[in-house]
Amino acid sequence: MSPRHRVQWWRIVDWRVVAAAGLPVWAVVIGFVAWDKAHPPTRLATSAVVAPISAEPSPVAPTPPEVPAAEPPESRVIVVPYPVPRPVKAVTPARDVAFWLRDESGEPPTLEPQAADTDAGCQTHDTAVRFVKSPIEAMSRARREDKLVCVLHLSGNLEDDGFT
Amino acid sequence: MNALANEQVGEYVNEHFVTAYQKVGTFRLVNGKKQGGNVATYFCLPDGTVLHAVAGPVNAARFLQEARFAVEMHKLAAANARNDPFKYRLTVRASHYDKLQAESGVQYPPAALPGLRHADAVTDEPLRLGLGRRLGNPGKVSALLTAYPLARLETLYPVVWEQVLNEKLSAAPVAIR
Repeated sequence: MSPRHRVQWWRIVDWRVVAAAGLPVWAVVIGFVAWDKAHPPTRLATSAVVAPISAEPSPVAPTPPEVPAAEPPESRVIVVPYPVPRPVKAVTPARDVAFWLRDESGEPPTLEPQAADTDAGCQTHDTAVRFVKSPIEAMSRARREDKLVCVLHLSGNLEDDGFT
Repeated sequence: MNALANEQVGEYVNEHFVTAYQKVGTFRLVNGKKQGGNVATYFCLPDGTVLHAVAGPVNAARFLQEARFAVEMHKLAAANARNDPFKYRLTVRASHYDKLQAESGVQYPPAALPGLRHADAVTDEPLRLGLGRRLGNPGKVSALLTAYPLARLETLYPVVWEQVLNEKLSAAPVAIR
């Protein structure tokens, strides 16, 4: 009886092929581990961390000066020459002047101050009534003083005694 | 001119009116006595239109009454018209219409009233309607101003002077003989 040769399994494998095939795999694995060591992964906080509050204010870094934002081209301010304001006479509001106070041109009269001497240029001719020189002057004066006009038509002259 | 010498008249007239006079006629002085001559008083708006008139000499009480009538009529017309000349003229016409009826018992025939647009063309037509014969001077003036309310003074005074007062318009000086 011939002895039966038993072939060991490790003799069957061509270890050179295995090594050639496994070498890149190992290179990739080692490279990944090395990269992982150099870049640790960020971990999510699992619990709140309460920091003690100090009485002293923590130093605050000075805020950088604000840089004006660039304005859109539409809102640019156009600088124009500004005229120096000059004092202007106060404009009196237009009055609703009665039609009988307007003169021939339709303009309202310029009212004189009440303190004006109403006796100026008047004569009484021995009566209790003050007379102005003419009906035209009476109408002009009545317009200014907002009065009516009284016109006497006579046969004579008030100036001459006995001629009226 | 006794009415104008009255203190009450002077005070009222000076307060409400600016007064002037004008010579439109003449008279004669014969041996120191006055022959002819007359006076007419017109109460006007400052634009020269006539509110009221008094033909002939009157006493102080009557003059004051007529002056007050003019002032009160002006106030009423101004309040009614609210600066409308046509409405103002209507009120003046109504006031003289009522005055004529109240003082003279005469009613101006409404159909004979001229249009208000023609109030400046003053004629003696109202005095020739049969009214003139029955009216005194105040009534004649009221009839004229009922027909021509707010007539202009220069168109009204010749009619008043010549047709109501029967005087002649004259610029001649007083004649002394």
